[in-house]
Amino acid sequence: MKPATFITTAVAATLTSCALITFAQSANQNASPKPSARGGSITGRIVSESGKPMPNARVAISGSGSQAVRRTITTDEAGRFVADDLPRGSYAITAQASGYVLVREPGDTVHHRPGDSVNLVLKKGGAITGKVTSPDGDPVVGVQMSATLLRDERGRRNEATYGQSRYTDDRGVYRLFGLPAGTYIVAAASKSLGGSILTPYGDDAPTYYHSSTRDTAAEVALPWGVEASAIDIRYRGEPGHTISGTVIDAALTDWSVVGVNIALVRASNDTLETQAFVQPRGGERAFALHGVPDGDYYMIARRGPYQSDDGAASKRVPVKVRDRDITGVGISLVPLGSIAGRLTLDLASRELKCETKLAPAPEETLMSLSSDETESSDPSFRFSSALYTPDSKGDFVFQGLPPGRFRVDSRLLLDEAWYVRAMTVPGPTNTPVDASANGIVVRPGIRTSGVRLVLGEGAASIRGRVVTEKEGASLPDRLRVHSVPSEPNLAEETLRFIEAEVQSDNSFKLLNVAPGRYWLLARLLKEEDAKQRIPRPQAWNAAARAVLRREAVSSNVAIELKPCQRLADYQLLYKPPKEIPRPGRP
Amino acid sequence: MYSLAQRTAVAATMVLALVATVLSRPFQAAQSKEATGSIAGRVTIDDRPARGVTVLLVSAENTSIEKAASKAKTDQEGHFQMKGVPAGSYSLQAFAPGLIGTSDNLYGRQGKVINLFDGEAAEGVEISLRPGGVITGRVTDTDGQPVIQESLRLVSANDQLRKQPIYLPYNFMFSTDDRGVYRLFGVPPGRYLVGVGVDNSDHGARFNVGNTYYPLTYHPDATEEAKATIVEIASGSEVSGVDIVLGRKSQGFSVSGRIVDAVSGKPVVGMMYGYGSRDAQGGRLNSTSFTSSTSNVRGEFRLEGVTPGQYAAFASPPFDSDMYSDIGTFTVSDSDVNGVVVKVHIGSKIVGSVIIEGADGQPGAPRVSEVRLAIYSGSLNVAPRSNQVRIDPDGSFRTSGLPRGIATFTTVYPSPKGLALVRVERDGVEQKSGIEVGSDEEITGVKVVFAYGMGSIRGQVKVDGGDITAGTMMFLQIRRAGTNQPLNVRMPPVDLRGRFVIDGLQPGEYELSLSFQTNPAAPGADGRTMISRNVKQTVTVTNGSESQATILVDLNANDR
Repeated sequence: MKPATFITTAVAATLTSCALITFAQSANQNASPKPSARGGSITGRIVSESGKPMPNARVAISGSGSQAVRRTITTDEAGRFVADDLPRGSYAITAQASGYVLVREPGDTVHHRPGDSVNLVLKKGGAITGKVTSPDGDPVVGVQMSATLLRDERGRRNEATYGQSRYTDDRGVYRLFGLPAGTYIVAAASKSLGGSILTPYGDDAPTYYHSSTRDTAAEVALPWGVEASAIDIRYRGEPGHTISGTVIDAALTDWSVVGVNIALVRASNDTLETQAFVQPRGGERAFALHGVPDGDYYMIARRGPYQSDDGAASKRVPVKVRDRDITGVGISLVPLGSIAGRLTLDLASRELKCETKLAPAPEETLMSLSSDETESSDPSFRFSSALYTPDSKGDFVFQGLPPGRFRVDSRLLLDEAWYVRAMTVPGPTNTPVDASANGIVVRPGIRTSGVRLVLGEGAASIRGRVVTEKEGASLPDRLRVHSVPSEPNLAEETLRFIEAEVQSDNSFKLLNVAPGRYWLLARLLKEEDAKQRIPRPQAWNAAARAVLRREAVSSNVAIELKPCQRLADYQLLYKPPKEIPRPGRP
Repeated sequence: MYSLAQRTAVAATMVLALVATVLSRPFQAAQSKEATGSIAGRVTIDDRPARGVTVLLVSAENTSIEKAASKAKTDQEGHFQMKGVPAGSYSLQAFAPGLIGTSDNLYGRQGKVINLFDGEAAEGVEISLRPGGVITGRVTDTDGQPVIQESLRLVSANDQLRKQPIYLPYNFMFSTDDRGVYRLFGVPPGRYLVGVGVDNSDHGARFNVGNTYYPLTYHPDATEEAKATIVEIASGSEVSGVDIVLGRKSQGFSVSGRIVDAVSGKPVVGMMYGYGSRDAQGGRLNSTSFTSSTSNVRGEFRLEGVTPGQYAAFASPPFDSDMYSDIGTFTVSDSDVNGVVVKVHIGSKIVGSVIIEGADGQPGAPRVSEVRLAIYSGSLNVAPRSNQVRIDPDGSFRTSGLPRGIATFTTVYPSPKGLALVRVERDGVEQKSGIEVGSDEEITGVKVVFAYGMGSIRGQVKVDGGDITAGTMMFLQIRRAGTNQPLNVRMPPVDLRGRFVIDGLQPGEYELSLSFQTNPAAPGADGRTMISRNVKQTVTVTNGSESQATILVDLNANDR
């Protein structure tokens, strides 16, 4: 039987807003109820950056995995909320107060278990306002506006469109608000948000601030809580082009009720230009995307699981738009694969009793699957990561996976006392074979099953701060802290390579670390990875591990972590790299 | 004086067609590859030429929200022209959210219907607009903090006795910003109450909006209509400072219960659910809403933020399930509600086949598996089910999970062209009022008959003793000659020039029936008393060709 699933899949790592597909399947209705499986409450408090309680903030709680619980609660006068009577499980918690933004660091999954107390900080977002006028100077009325965050306040690339479908008013004035700090481009008649009514602007190419195309758009730097005004746009009103064609998906019949998402992406920077949803019937369906400006693009079509398959996606279809409409584009979807298995908790390891509280249940854990892009998987399907919570038996299935090599990550356990002890796949004679070093291979349209993940108690953790040799000197951006196993027989044990981003206050935490001896290393993210908001783990290929080890040996910060040890206020020295000549640079 | 209340409430299926020059041009049936039709006219604001207004042509058949069938901008004199327009049924509308059309009514912006024939030039289309008013202000809470992203409610107070909510067509553009500031534009002249919040007298099901809410509060700070300050808007005027101060939020209540199998009493796990408000009399469900949550391992469900009122919860079995849900009724007054029980039952099955008459040997006729059929069944105490039916290539189908009641059969949009559902039979006997469905039974021998036809009628309404004026209402019906039942085909409205087009007809004799009514109250009408006419006309239709019809309305003749 297939366990219930709730997977978030990013097919293209950089398509943050459009590539997040949520595959939700209703839970097995025959599962026997477990009256003993009581959960509890998650309580919390929402405060502003200055520590002031935020009343009337909207807290959304959604269960992952088989717990399809969604709840929205408003905070009281003291900014507090209580979500009571929650079944056992892991819950993603987000908070929203109009005009305020929940600040999340990369890799922060905001998952919690019943019994947890959660404190969330909301920051006042910025606003962008201005006037849109026609070349004649008339106000452009009722045009949809969007602001796209190019880089966050620390310069990390993050192409996500923020917008609440705001339109210009009868004077041509618009106001976009609740925007996190960063660098934006602002567009009138952008197609990435999707429209709700027929306007004259739907087949126009978008006009970017001041009055340009995407390539020459002026950037708007927006600090927290600040209003950027007079971001006026002279609307060009240039007709865009139409890209039309057919989506082909042999797995779908006349009667499939399943939607296919078609995304048009700019080839130069992987940003979403526009998208459409179609329901193929009889395996084929016409589509049309309007208002597309000249440029080089690729298209990707994808859909969620249907009946017994695990989802489907197309390869990238390149499209060049020059001066006219493009017709007859064929996009074929091919089946995607999946990884299924079971997570177990080694209860014998409970003797260590790191904590007196109950051991977590499988449905209170959180698994993260990441694509091992260092292996040459087909670049047509890019995939960054997915989160998953197994059911109460520990069964899991990650659906919608492109062909490639994957690893289950240990970073995301909700209980600090546990760590991933082993990850295996069935070998030729069904004997478990270690998969931590080489990952799990997914072939097109095939389910890789029998993956086993064993968690043990006794994990250690390190919390601390990265410091510089010269007191008060500032740290570079995109610094990461790594644990590198120093025992020779564990040198290639990828589960022991834990890494975490150094936060803006120079703090870091390495959690769910297997007890043992390590070197600790603070190092700069490699240039090619620094563009990603959530970079792929560095330790996955042998060459990268060798580099890490060399640097770790040279910086020589050795540490021994006892079972259940909690190191706090640890100070890790960052040494800038010595002049290592970089290939290809003068 | 322009007033919404004066306007006749027009049934949704009726269309207000307005005056333009009635062109007398021979019908053209020629099939040309390149579309050569054109539409031209003028846009005015308060009878003066309107420069730079965009006019959109919307196809009645293909309603893409991204792209109009054609668009044009008016020049200095307010003139616009669209070229290369294919034959078809259209609605012509000015996109001007800050302005209002003289033909707008309570149902929103009314476009002008144009049934354009092949290669035809429709000229002299007049679109008259008038400036809309503006209401602007700020919404704050008791602490003076801005209340953000709240939608505004506008209530017409023109009639002291009957206050009526007004839904402006561009209402979605009007929520408050991060300063609490709002700006309503395109407001018709009149007297209004302006409010924010949840109307407890018109409660509906709400989801994922939190467990507290602002009760409906009008400018300046009134929770009762009688204490609200009326805002008066003249044509094109702007009234600012229409601030609203909201009181404390009200607490919504939580409602919990269980979803169980009606027979075994066992909990149903992982089932989607929803709830809806019930009217006080019949208990009928309206404004239903679904959660994205599912029942937990004990079959329990939970609703949050429910406002006082009468409701029913129901389960929502998957599309292909053989189950249906009854409803668990509950009343929320001043506390949480527990113990609501929703039962799911095994539903009935209908097994049958679909046939298409008149499709044999017709090139381009749809396959039977392309037919889109939905079967609906329900009664007062169950959550109705509407099953989209999967039809196999041999025409057979099977659908399950239908609750007790009368099963009715409908086609689902978008249906293949030229197909009409003509009758449903059971064991060879026509079932005119649907099929009665009992509890957990299998109904066999059902035949759903569609007819395929590619005949069409191009028609013209001619008026003797008058014109088609502003506010003239024309409502056309078609039935097979000798029957009483109107035909189940899409009826494009008669356009402002009296033209109409009916497609997808099977060969045969048809009777057209036109209800014609002048409206002396409408602007531009000639002040005569209202005249109604009902004119019938018989037409013969053959496959693949276009029949022509002229319907003559004689306004001079005495009534009846």
